[in-house]
Amino acid sequence: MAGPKTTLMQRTQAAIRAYNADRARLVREAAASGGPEAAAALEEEFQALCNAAFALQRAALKRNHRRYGALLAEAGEGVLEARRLMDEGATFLAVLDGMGKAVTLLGRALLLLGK
Amino acid sequence: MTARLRVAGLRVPVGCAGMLAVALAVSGCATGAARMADARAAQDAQGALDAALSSYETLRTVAADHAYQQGYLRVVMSPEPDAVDFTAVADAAMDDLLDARSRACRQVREAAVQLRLLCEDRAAAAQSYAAAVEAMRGYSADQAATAEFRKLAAALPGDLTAARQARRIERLRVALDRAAAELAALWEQERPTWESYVETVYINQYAAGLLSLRLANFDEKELARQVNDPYRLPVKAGLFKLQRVREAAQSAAKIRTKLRQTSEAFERVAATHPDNRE
Repeated sequence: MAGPKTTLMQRTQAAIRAYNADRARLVREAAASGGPEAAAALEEEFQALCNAAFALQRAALKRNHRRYGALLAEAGEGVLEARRLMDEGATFLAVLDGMGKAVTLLGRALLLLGK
Repeated sequence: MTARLRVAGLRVPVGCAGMLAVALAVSGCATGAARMADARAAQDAQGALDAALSSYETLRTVAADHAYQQGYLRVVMSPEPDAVDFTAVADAAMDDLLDARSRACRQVREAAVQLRLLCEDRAAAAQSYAAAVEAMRGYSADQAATAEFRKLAAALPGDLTAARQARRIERLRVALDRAAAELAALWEQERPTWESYVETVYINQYAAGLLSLRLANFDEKELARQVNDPYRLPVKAGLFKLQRVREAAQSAAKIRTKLRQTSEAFERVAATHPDNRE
C-alpha cells in the first residue's frame, strides 16, 4: 500500500491533470464571469498547485518524513476534493475554492516537511 | 531486518549498495595483469560517473523547458494574451539538489581517474595517489558520504611510500569502491523521483494542457497554414495539438533514456565487481 507521501503526490498529479484537461474551458468561463482578473486568479492557483508538486518531489529527494503522515493524509483529502470538483465539471468558482483549500493544506504539509 | 546504510539522508539497503558497488579489485597493482584489470575497473567507474554527471546536467535543463512551456500555456489560455505575465509560473528548478549530487560525483570521478593513472603510469604513481586521496577526502566532506565512508577516507595515508605501496593502493581502492557504491545506490533510490519530475514537466503540466485547447483558441488561417494535411479545420486543430504533444513526449523520452543509460552504466560496473564475477 502506498504511503501518505506517495498518495499525496499521486493525488496532486491527478488534480493537475484534471485541471489541464479542462483548462481552456475553465479559464474561458472565469474570464466571462469575472473578467481577466478572475481568469488570472484561477491560473495562479493552478501554478501554486504545480509548485506544490515540485516541492513534494524536492522533499522526496531530500529525506523521508515519516512523522507527518497524518498531515499528508489531510492534504491528500483536500487535493482529492479539488480534483472531484474538476472531474464533475464544476464552475470555475468552485474549482478555484477547492484548489485554494488544497494548496493551503499542501503548504502546511510542506512547511513541516522542511521544504 | 534488512541492514541499511544512509546516503544523503536516504536509507538504502546495504545489499543494494553491494550489488551496485564499483568493480575495483582488492589485490593491488602488484602485477601487470592486476594493474590492467584495476585500470579497466577504474575506467568503468569513471564511465558510470560521467553518465550520472551527464544525466544531472540534462535534468538541469528541464526547469527552463518548464518555464517556457508554462509561459506558452498561460499566453494561449489567457483572455488577455498580450497582457498576461508569462513569467508567473511554478518554479521547477532543482539546482541546489543537482549541484550537491554533481559535486559528489565529480569528486569520486576524480579519484577513479587518478587510480587509473596510478595503475597505468607507475612513474607518476605517487602524484596520482596523492590526488586520488585528496579527491576521496573531498567526497568525505560531502553530505552524500556515509559515516562508514568517512572512516575509510580518514584512515587513508596521504602519501605513497615504496615500502607499503600495494597495501596503500588497496585501501584507496576499497574507499573508492565504497564511495562509488554509495553514489550508485543514491542514483537508484532517486531515479523514480527524477522520472516523475520529467513526467510532471513535459506530460502532466504541459502536454495535458495542450489537449484542452479548442478550435476557438486558434487563428484559423494560421492553423490551415501550419497543418498541411487535407482535413477540415477541427481536424487540423487536433493534428496541431498531436504534433505538439508528440514533441513534448519525445523530449521526456530522450531524458528518460539518459536516466536509464546511467543505471545501466552503474549495473555494468557492479557486474565486474570481484564479488559478482563468475
